[in-house]
Amino acid sequence: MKTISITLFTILFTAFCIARLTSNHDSGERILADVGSEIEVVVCSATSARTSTLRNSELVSNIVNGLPDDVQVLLLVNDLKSFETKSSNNRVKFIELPEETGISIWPQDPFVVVNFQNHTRLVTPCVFDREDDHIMPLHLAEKLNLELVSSDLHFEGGNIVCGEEAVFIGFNTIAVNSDLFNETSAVIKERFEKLFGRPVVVVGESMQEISHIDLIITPLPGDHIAIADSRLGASIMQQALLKEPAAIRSFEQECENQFFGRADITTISDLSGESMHRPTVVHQTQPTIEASIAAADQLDVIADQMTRAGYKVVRIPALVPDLTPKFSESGKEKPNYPFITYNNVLLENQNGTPVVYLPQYGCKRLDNAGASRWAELGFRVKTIPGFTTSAMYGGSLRCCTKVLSRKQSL
Amino acid sequence: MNAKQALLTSAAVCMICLACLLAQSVFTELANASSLDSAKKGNTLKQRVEDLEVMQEEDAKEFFLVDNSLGDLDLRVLDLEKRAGARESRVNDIDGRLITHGRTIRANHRWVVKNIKEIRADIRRLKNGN
Repeated sequence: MKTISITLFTILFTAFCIARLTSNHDSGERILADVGSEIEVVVCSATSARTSTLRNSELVSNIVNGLPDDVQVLLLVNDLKSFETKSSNNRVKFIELPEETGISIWPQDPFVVVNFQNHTRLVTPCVFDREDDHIMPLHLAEKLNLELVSSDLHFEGGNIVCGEEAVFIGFNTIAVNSDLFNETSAVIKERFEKLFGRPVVVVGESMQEISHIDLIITPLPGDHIAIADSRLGASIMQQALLKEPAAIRSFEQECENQFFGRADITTISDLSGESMHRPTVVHQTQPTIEASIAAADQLDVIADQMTRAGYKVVRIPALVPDLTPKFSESGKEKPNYPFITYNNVLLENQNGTPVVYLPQYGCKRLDNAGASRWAELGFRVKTIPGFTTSAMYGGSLRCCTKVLSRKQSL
Repeated sequence: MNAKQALLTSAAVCMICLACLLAQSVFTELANASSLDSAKKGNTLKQRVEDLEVMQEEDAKEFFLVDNSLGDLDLRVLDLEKRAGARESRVNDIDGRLITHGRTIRANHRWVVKNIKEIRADIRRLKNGN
């Protein structure tokens, strides 16, 4: 009996040791969450007027000045000599990219940040084909001596948001990978879970009409989640149109006037020499209200889905324009009425107080409604102006600002 | 196999397993040491960002990024204005030429009318003379 017991113990102990040795136990690698402690380092990109029709030096200044003084800002530029800083500020560091490359103003998309203890890893998708944005993580990794991991999976950072526990991935990303690897959605979800070190919640049950979920979904601390309400946004805008038509006309006109940076510029040539006209926004608010109402059902479906998944859903007003792509004669997608969202935000916790950095679009009534809603949710609201033109291309604060680290990453 | 022998064998197996675990933990430490070397030195990502060469003045809080190439945009506008100006002067030129043409046509018209009047007068005179 004694012999049997000892042998049994030995077998079990050996099995335990073998299991420990061979298993890929929890390494602690986790995608950086969109909620958590104070933001420490962010990445933005600045494009000059001569290299890009969407120039953003003013917007970058607003973002830098809108974030706390101790946040380090890395600024990716491909045309450094075009820029000068009127006032020096040692928390902004330029990272120069090759001149011949073309970059967008949205560093959110070409990579995700995965943390392992104090180690930061940049994970890139198998392919990223918007302009030359794929070089952003390469240069960041090189300059900061960070580990760069190239994934087989296809993804865009804007279609991935991360809460305290789970990571939320838009349906399209799962579907595209499912098609790419000829695997079931469940297998793809599992692969993302392994890559990001967190459970995955797939957002939506059919093809997304809004291409990036970070425009409409914001994970909040705990088990709360904020989802855009385009019906509410439309209603607020309808009221504004009835009560303050002059203010709305002025907003529409300002969208057009500021599109190329100056009111008197209506057409410019792009790098290929083709003419680009500024979009028509004046008198487009009413059709946009109707488009926003039409988009509301799909957002309600997502809200229901999240409620069923056990999240406490809160809604934030948004004005979602008609997202049917319109193309110029040269085949380029034309800008649109601004996508006014208050979900594309940055969040942090400052000594126990939740803080939201909230983009502003110059449409006072809607901007105020967005800020009030966040305040009602218990957040200290810090507004950052100047997102109108960016929003006409469909991007806002989170799209423009990639958080690289937080003081104590989750 | 008696109990003592089994115990010794088991102890030996357990010792080997423990040695493996210890070796793994040591080697993991070493493996991590290279990748986390900077982190252990307190050289966090933030520190590394701060260590980047481009250092600027410390006290300024407001940041203004100025895009000097907006001048190029001005050049684009100036070019458009220049082209518009050139078109305008061509239009003025054509307008001037049209005015001249109009004057010429009107002069021609007046000359033709005058000639017709003279011819009619001549015809009347010829009829009366007959």
